[in-house]
Amino acid sequence: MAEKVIEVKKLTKKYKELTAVDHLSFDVEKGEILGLLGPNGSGKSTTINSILSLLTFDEGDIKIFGEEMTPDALEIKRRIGVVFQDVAVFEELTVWENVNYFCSLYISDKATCEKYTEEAIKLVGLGDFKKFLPKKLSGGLLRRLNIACGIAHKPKLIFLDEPTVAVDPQSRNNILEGIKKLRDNGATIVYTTHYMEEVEILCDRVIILDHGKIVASGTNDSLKDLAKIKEKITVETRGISKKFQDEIKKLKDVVSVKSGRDTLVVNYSDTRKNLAELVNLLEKNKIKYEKIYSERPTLNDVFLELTGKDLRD
Amino acid sequence: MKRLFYNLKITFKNKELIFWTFAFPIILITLFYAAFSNITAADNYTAPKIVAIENENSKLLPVYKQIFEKVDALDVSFENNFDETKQKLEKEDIIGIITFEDDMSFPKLIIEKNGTSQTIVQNIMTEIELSIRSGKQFDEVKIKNTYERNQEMAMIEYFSLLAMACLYGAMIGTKSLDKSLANMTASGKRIAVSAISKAKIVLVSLVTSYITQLIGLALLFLHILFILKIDFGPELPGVIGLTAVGALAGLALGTFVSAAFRVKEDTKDGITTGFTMLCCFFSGMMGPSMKFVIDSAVPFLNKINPAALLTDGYYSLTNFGAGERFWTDVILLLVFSGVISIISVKILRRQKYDNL
Ligand SMILES: Nc1ncnc2c1ncn2[C@@H]1O[C@H](COP(=O)(O)OP(=O)(O)OP(=O)(O)O)[C@@H](O)[C@H]1O
Ligand SMILES: [Mg+2]
Repeated sequence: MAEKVIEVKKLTKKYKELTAVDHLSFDVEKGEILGLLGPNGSGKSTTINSILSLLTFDEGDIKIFGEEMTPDALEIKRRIGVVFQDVAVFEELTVWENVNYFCSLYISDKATCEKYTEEAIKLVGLGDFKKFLPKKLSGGLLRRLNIACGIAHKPKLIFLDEPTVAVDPQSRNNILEGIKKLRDNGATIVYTTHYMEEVEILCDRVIILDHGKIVASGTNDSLKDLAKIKEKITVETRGISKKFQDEIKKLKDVVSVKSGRDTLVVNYSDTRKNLAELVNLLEKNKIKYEKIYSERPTLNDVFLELTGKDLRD
Repeated sequence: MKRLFYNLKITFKNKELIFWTFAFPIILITLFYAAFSNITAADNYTAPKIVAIENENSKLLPVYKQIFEKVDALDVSFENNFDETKQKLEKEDIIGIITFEDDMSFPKLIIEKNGTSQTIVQNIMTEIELSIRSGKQFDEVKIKNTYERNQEMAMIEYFSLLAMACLYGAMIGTKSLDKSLANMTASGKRIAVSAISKAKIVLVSLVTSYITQLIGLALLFLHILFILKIDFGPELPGVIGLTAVGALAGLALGTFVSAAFRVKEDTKDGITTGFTMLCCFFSGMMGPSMKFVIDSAVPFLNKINPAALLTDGYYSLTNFGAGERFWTDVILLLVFSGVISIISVKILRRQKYDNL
């Protein structure tokens, strides 16, 4: 059994009447990247801030590295790095100075601190921007700086709260690569997002949150298995009649048929020779189509099915 | 150390704050100075000439004669002929005429115009009359001429201004600590989850803002001493020292407000301003009667009110030198700063927030 880095038991946090986190229990194991996935307002940030002892909570126990987490547990805090959802840097300081400043909150030796500063800047690929002030950076670069500030001191446990919101694809890839490197260097990571793809690429384990409760949890694959949909076939075509759609529904293992303007999506509860069958049916009815392809369902589909809500609303 | 440097850099880039702490007191004291300078210019002062008309039947005239001899601020001569004197007044050779009735009635002052000299004469005459009426011996009564009085008033105003400059440093203290608080700024959240103890956070914030504040006060003093050339007399080092201690008390006060009140930034600034205003008000800075009331009703309050300690310090320094009373004020100010800083740390120590 792997070592537990974080243990959360029955965490409940209310803002007045609103229960943002509702009897949430989970563990984070050493060396893994745990994805906390949920739509806006599902309680991801609240959970993280509660774990960090920034927020009061109504109920629950939180242990980090096997010890109770409190606001003055400095020895625990020393080993933690946090990248908050909001960019938190000093406008008055340059990129290098910002990273150095936050690093110096943990590392007292000047030379080590400067070395770590350089390394963090390199990790997020801001080497060319060391002397820039934050307001001169694009959104994506600013996010990268935000990350560098949180992880420069080489923490053993890292919290990243939606570090890729509103970031261009290049920066996003850079950030995801960086996070993988951190894990490979031995850090345990808690990563929140509402992007399905990121979780699929990055995380070893996922917890799906909605209304402050766990809707589902497990590895990527086990979650996909959890969902009824096993295969998803998309047909790019125009104008398929209601009658023909009903005919598809009668095929074996078809769970649902959804028609968009130019597409038709057929969901199956099992993976057999579904594609061949569907192609045959289309040919038989002389229906023209541009493309037809089969996919494994994504976490988004899983979420949709589990909660009835689309993640990206 | 490093962070201190960064904090200073951050503080100095805050132009608005720098203006209010550096430039504002300088502008204010220059305005005060301008307002006082025309009547405090000692070299230009010539005692107004007045003439008293002799009257053998007056019982008060001899008393007045005695007094006039001691008052340098007036140039009094005695005449018998009222009409001749009246002409002098009309020609503006003299400022006023004093006439004495018989027996114990007080003299009348006749003046032609209104002006500074006339006002001075009027004030001194009133002062003399009051001292006689109250039955005090003239020796006991301190009749100061108006020039001295004005200068003293100016000094009080300058000292109030210095005290205010110290206490308004509370604003720097508040802003500085706010930067490190999770509920105030995003970077504060980061500092709050870091491995830095709250004591260190408060200390760094205090030191940073103290350096800022001292630079501001140094500029203020340079301006006062070398540009306005206001003379604080031999107690100048004491005045500067007390101001430096007062600045620390102001910052500690601001730090406390920042730590103790969990409200929006603007509200916090409001509380800080309100707090300092209240301190100044109770210390008699906006009318001396208040200090008197507090002194007799709740004397303790004046011992923990930094504004009261400051004004008392300046007062005792200029009147009695750096004696026991002055040092008591200094020590109490230091104790005040220490105690509320420690309270601030205690408050922050296990601080969590209901929402962020
Ligand atoms: N300070 C607050 N006061 C009151 N309600 C709050 C506060 N902060 C968050 N909430 C509410 O608590 C719920 C959970 O918020 P939280 O920020 O934890 O969600 P999230 O999953 O991080 O969302 P997002 O993806 O938008 O960051 C939301 O309904 C939100 O409106
Ligand atoms: Mg959030």
